Amino acid sequence: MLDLKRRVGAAVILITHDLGVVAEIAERVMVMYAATSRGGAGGRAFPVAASSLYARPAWRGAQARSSLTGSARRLAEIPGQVPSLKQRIDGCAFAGRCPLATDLCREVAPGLEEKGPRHIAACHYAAKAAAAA
Amino acid sequence: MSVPLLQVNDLKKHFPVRGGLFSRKSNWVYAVDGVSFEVERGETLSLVGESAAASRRSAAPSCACLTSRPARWCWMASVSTIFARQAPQHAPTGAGGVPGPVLQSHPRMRVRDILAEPIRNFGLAKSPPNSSAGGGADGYRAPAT
Repeated sequence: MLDLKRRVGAAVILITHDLGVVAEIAERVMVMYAATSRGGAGGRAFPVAASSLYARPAWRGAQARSSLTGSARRLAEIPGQVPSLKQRIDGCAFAGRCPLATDLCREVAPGLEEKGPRHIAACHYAAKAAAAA
Repeated sequence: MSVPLLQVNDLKKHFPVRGGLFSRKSNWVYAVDGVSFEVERGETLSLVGESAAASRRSAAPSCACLTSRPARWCWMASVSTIFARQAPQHAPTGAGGVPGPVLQSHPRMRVRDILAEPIRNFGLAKSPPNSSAGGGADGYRAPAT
């Protein structure tokens, strides 16, 4: 696939759960959750940029079972379930599973905003979470 | 600044849920709701998500498989995609609009590894984590409860 990309100059959209593969071959990452985009970052910068409260535990899960490191520890689960997509979601779609969610999160959906170089996130407290990590 | 090969603005894909007498539309499922992104020439963009449903729905229209009402697609250059070279243009998806094997191809995993991954992740495999259970896809069995 990468050889084809190099030869014909094609772009590739890769859908995967394996963040080890993402960190290795993707130039950019877009994190999806509940029908919307939760943020994005440069592929190799993703571990650093995963300040979104959804992206961060996802990255830790990838570290637990990574094709890069060969680690095979048990995956860390994010408690709760993805919300139903049969109704429009008021507020942040991840608020029901987020340990730091506040009334602001439940009432106002955060928009995508730049949190750092090549890093955007839809999270009211992304910067605070990154600093606390 | 380079011109993006593919630009997607406010992509939405809502599926009607039919029910009741005469199968009337009773609800909507908001599979993709306002997603925007762009891909440069020669760039690899990865879509990651918990269920991959929205990711697939966002990527599938790039193969002209689905139509999206409010979405505005801007093809800024002629697209010669890998998919167009490897798969029939009229049917790159599987049943129900789910991306077919070309879209789902994993550069590093074989089918039996993909099948075995959730079994190993939840510690249900009888064999060690790094070995394939049963020697192939046919060897997997439901765990004893």
